[in-house]
Amino acid sequence: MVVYIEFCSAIKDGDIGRIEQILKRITIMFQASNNKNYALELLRLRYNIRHKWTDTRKRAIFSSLLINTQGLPHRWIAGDLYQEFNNLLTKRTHATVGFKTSTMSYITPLIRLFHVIHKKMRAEYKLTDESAFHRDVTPEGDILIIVNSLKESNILGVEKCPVAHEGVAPVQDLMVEGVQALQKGGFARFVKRMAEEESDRTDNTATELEEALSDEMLIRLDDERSRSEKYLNSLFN
Amino acid sequence: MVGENLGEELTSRRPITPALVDIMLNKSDMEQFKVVYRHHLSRVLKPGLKSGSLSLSLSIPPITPLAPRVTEAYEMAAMEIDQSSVEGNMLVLEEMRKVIGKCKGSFELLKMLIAGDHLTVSRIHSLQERKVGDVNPFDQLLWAIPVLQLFHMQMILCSAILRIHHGHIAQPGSLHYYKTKLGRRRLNLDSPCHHTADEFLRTVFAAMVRQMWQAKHVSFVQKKILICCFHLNTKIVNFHPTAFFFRISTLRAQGPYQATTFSQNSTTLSAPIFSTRTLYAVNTLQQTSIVFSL
Repeated sequence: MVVYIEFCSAIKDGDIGRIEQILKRITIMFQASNNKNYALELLRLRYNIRHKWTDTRKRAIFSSLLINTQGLPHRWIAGDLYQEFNNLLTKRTHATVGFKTSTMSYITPLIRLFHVIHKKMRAEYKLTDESAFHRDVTPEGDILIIVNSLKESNILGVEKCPVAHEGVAPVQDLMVEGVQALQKGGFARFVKRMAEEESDRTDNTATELEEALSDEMLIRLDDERSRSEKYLNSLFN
Repeated sequence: MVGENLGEELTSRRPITPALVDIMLNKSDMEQFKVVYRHHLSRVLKPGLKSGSLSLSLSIPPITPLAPRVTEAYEMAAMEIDQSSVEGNMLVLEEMRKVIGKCKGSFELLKMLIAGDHLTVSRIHSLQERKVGDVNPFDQLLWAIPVLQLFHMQMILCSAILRIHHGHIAQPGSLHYYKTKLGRRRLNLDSPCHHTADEFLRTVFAAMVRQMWQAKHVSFVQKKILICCFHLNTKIVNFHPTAFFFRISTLRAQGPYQATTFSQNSTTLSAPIFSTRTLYAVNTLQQTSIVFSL
């Protein structure tokens, strides 16, 4: 959970160094989770950072993943969260004008402007918000309920391994299992895949080159054939 | 960022075979994570601690922070293109090229970041593999750098935590148990609401940290009392560890040889321990002084 909190915190602070640092752990953890696609992409990202990108490129790429709509410190968000928010605004606006391509084409590029106008209108005419939006309530009450429950069940207390919890299965440790997954063939599969991609790239280039060459040769042969035909015709005529 | 220098690619070298050591954490990563741990645990225990020397000493030193500035973003018009297919992604890129008004040939000297979810990134990779032999630089897609976006990773990580710690409804300590106890909805394992899941996980985490801290505190108090008892050659009578599950706000007795009273949720405990001497123990993180009567 600390990994998740740190990841969110690093994004919010706009600290790309901390994002890169915590992504190392997330890369290992994902190897043990069900998201094999993300696990592979994170390995590829790590490889690019280590061996393919210069520091300038790395910095440019990571900084492009973050957006700060207000220009204030600790107000950074991920670029795709911004996009998701735009999608939500678009859907809300579309609900009033209908889902037509003609309307969508002009609404979406101006969606942020519409959002500003919407807020201004509400403020000017003192309209109450009829949506389900609510301010965050303090979680203190819920925290106390859980703390009391933990105490009652003798969980995370002074006693390290209470007898009552002996039969409870341990929780999956993603870090440990991630390292094991990498050592037991996960990393070898990644290396193989990278090698295959590399060879595909070079093979494709080679095939294309061969094709280009053979085309050129065919043209030349055709040319020579026509020339020889002309020559023979000239001999017999 | 438009026009930002994307630097050179290390293509001059031969492709380097990935090594496991590149993925594994080293000693400095471990040290850095200790600082991270300390910071986030202290934030949970003392949410109001945002300034002062203690806050500074517990904060995470920035590594590469970005200078705050308003990011300019330009939204494209909605398109009727099926983005789930490889061809659909190519059509989207084509539309993007038209919007920015660049000819296909100009992409030879360009590098552009294409950030998206896993589906987008994998489709771009497929396109790059397929179109490597194309004639014009735009169709070759060598200019595109596909990268995963961060919010999608946040969502996946959040869901993974929820799934792993979900457990059984009848099992105290599991998330399923607390989900029911707190009456949380929209937290099904297949597609949980990210906002709700985030708030729920942070609440449970805060509760667990507090419980662990209090338990550690009790064990600390017990140890101190035992040490003092040893030094003073005295004996504890009527000691209840649960009597220390509280934070003392007022100390009624300040003198070293007076009887001290403790308050816990307005219940007064009058010197549960044999009272002869007084011990002052100061907890620096919680900034509370605790007086024990011995």
